[in-house]
Amino acid sequence: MTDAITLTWRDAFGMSVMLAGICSILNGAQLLWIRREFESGGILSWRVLRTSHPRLLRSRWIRAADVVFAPPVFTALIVIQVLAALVLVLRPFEARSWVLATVIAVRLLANFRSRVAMIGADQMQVVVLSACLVHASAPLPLVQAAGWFVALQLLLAYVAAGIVKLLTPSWRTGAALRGIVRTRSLGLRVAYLQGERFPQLMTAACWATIVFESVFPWLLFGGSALCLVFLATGLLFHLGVGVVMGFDEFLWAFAAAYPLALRCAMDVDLFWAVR
Amino acid sequence: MAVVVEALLALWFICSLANQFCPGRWRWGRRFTAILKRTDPLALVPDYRYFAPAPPAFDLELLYRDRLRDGSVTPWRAFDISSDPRWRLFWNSGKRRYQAAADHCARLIHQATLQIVGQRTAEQMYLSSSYVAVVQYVAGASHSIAGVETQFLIAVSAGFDTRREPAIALVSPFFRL
Repeated sequence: MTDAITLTWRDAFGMSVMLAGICSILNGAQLLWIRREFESGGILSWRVLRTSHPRLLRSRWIRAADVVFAPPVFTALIVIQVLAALVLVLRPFEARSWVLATVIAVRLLANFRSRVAMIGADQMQVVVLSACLVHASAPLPLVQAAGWFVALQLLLAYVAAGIVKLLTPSWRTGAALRGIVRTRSLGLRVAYLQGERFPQLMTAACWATIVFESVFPWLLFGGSALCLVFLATGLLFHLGVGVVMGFDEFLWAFAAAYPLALRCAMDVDLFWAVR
Repeated sequence: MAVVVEALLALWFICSLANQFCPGRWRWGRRFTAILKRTDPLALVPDYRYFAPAPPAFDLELLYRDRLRDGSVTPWRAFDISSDPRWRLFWNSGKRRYQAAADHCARLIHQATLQIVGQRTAEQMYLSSSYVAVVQYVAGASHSIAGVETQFLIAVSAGFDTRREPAIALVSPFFRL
C-alpha cells in the first residue's frame, strides 16, 4: 500500500501552495470585480463597517485603520494579494515565506474588515496557507506538525458539518436541501424542479451529504488508498456544491488541504506497517 | 521556537474543535463564544457548521422606491441577487455582495422583531450599523432624477417557488436622498 503512492512533504506542500494560490487569486480577482462596494455607498463600505469595531473606534488606531481599510489602499492590498498568489502558483515548490505571509496578512485584514462578507472558504484558506508558511520557514519535525494540523482541520471541518446536519431534523428529512436549492441566491432552478418532482432525491442527497461529511474523513486513518477514496469523493462533492450552490472558492480552498491529508495518510501507512 | 509553533498550532486546533461544539444553551459554551468574539478579531478560529442547524430556505429581497418632487412614488425596484448558473462554479463574484446585504437585512429583521416585543427602541434600530449600511447601499443605487426621498423594503421570498407569495418583513420610513 505504501509503495502505491509516494509523496514527499515537499511535494504535498508544493501542491497545496499551488491550489491555495489559485484560490487566493480567485478571491482577490472577485473582490476587485466588486471593488465599487468598498467605496462610500457600497454594501462593504468601510465608513459603515468600522462601526462594527467599537474598540477600534475608540482607539488611536482608527486613523490608520481608516486609511488601510478604505480605497484606494485596501484595493491596492487586494492587488498585492493577487500578485503574491500568482507568484505562489508559478513557483509553488519554491514558495518564499514572505510571499506566503503577504497573502495571509491581506486575507486576515479582509476578514477583520468585513465579517459580514466572510465565507467558510476564507478560514480554511488561512489554515492551509499558515501551514505552508511553517513549511517554508521551519525544519522537518515542524513541517510534519503543520501537515497534520491541516489534515486534522480538514477532518474537523467535514465531521463538524456532518454531525450538526445529522442533529438537524430538516437535514434528516431532506427539507433542508429542498429549501436551499429553492432560493435564487444559493439554489439552482433545475435542481429545485427535479427536487419537486422527486422529493426522495433530496432526502437521498441530504443523507449522502451527512454520511460523506461525518464518516468519510475518518478514512484518513485507514491509510493512503482509503484516503484517496475520501479525497476523490470530496472533490466530487465540492464540484456538485459548486454547480448547484455556486461555491466556487470552496472547491479550491478545500482541495488545497487534500495533498497534505494524503501525505498524512502515508504516515498512517507507515504506522500500520510498523505495527 | 519549534515548541512554540507546535503549541500555537495545537491551541489553534483545540479552539477550532471547541468552537464547533459549544452550544449557546450551556454556560461554558456561551462564555467560550464571548471570549472568542473578543480575542479573535481576525476570525482565525473557524466555524465549520455550514448550513446547519438553520439552513437557509428563503431569499431576502431588498427593494426600494423613490418619492418624487410632485409627491408621487415610483414602483418598487429590487436589487438583483441571482448569479449566472453557467459560470458560478468558476466565478461567483456576487456571492459576497449578496451575503453582506442579506446579513444586514437579517439583523434588521431581528431588531425589528425585538422592537415589536419592546426590547429595542426604534432609535436603536435606526442607529445600528446594519440600518446605516442598508440606507447607504440603497442611497447609492440608481434613483429617479426627480427623486427627493427614498425608502426600502425587505421581503422574504421562496425563491424559485412562485406559488408562495413573498412576505414583507420590514419597510423603512422615507429618507432624503
